[in-house]
Amino acid sequence: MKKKFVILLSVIFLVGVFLTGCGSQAGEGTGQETGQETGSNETADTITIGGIFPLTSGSAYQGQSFKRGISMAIDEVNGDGGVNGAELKIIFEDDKSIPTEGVNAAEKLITQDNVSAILANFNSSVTLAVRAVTEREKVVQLTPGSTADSITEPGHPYMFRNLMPNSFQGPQLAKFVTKKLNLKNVAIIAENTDYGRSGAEQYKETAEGLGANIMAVEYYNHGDKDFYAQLTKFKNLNPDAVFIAGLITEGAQILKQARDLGLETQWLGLGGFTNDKFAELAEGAAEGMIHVSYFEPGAYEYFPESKEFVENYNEKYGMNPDMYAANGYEAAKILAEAIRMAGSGEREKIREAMTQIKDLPGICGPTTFDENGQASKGLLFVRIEDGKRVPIGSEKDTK
Amino acid sequence: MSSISEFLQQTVNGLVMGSSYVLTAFGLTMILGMLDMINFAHGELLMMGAFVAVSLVIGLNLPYLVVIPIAIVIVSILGVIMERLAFRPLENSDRVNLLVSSLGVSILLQNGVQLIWGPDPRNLPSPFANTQFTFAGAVLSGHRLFVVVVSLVLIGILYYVIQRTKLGIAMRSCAFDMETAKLMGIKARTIIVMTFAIGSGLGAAAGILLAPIFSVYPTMGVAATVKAFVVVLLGGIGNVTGAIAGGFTLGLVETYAAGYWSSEYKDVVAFLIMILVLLFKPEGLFGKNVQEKV
Repeated sequence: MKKKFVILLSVIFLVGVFLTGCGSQAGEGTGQETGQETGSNETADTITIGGIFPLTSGSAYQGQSFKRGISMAIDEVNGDGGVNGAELKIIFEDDKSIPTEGVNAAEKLITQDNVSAILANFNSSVTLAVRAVTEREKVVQLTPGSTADSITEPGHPYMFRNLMPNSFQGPQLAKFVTKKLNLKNVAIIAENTDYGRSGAEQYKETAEGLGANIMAVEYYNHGDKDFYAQLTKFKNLNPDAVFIAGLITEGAQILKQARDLGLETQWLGLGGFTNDKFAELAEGAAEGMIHVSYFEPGAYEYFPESKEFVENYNEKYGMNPDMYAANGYEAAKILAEAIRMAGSGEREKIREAMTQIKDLPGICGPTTFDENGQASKGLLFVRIEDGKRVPIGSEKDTK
Repeated sequence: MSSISEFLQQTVNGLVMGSSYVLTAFGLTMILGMLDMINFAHGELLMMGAFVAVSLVIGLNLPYLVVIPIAIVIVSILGVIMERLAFRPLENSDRVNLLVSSLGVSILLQNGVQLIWGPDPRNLPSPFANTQFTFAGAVLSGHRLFVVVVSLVLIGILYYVIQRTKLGIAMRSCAFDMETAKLMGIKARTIIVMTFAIGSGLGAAAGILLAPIFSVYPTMGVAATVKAFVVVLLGGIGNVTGAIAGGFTLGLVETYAAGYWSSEYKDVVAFLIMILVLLFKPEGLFGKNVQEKV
């Protein structure tokens, strides 16, 4: 009996080790077929594209949303007869939010699967690492989710993005809060990453330019759990508002701990809070918070093209699409249009077609890429009411 | 809020964190003292405690207070299994093999939990979450007070067991010199198993107590292992009194650093103190055993 138990546990142990090792297989088999310049594995009636997102690990919630949105777009394109009569096929890979995993996946997709273009990634650091590969291999990379400013800096002809960078959301939020809401004494608590730091700095610069007083800027590390010290300091400062430049796990804890301490203020946040899980994790402490969002289901006055998408998504997956699903859906549609314009799955022709796209209608707004591959889109401000995000304005209101 | 009540509030914050550090560090310091091995999977025991508690509270609808002892027992058993499968086969090999083995267990548990429960963070509801106590301007939620009280009770019981009971004396003798202890008729095997059971149970207790304040997710144990390690080095390896002092010192220093200087350098301050202690008092603030053993 005892021996059997030990053997059983050993088997579970080994299965665990095996599963842990599986993730690294994506990188195998590369290096043999490098040097191919065109996506050529497609037969006349299939064109393959790749998608690399964090399908497991800490950002899996967002990664799965991208996958659902993109899959739906591809199904729709194929349902309408494909691209120039060819069927569109997508291969998804998991980057686990780790740059090296992303690079391995990109190498595999480009050299082994011969994809024509790639939709990737979510985490900015992974997108930047993958950009080096797509640029070297001359394959279009379109990100529907990374907001670091440097992604669409000049000199990267294969990199494209269909949402606005950090340098847009921080200042727009600052304008909205300072001019429209008239909240002048603000404290900032930010994640100690490119995303959090740039968000905090840009907010501070714009808000101070408009006459606001930034009372304190505190940083925390990704994965920190205890924020009582910073929040006690804020409570003593008594700010009109506290701006969190971070993501949902830490954000929810900050709000709960602030409620514990009796810190009452107007909470503000970046686009990283646009997630149904956030209000649930905050257990009611997020009520009244105002944050940036790039897409809201049902906000048809801001996103008039999105009605059909929201209804179909609900029918297919039994839930509302979030901004990740919407941006992913739109990115796949943009890529399909570029492939249609290119007339084939040839990589260089797709890049040329991407630069030719003008005012392509989309669910998050029309798309035209500038010379750096950056599309000009808008953003919304939402307030959390009864655990739901309610749109209260857009960047147009702050002009 | 006056600066006095702010100071009081920061002190309360530091003591609450400190009590959880003490609980987390106990298991690590006991195993480190006895087997000379750093158990890198210790934080994962804390994480397992939190996940088992979440499953029992949300899945089986059991009350939080009932779940605490059940989850502690389950994780204690897990700790014993871990010792049997991952550490005992290596007991006569180089210490570095034990260290690598514990790293393996840590990765295995993180991935196993992610496979079963998924990567999303989740909450553990506490019955004390909505009560609040105010004392001279400092606010303490019912649950944080509960954390401190239960921690102090557990710390007290463990301190008594180690210092006053036969089991405690046997544990201390094994930690001091395993071979001599065996010659004196102490069943070292049983003592090692007991140490793992108690250490794992205390780690789990820290996880279950803190889960309602912090979210529960598969990688939450990593930071806990690092903090516990700092506490152990501060207090002296294998020294239970040292772990108590080290835990409260770390909690207070971190909180004061974040509150009065900069939260950006909170962890830097903790590690700076650790390095200073290693440089000038390598046996730890309260440690004597290491040198005597050598």
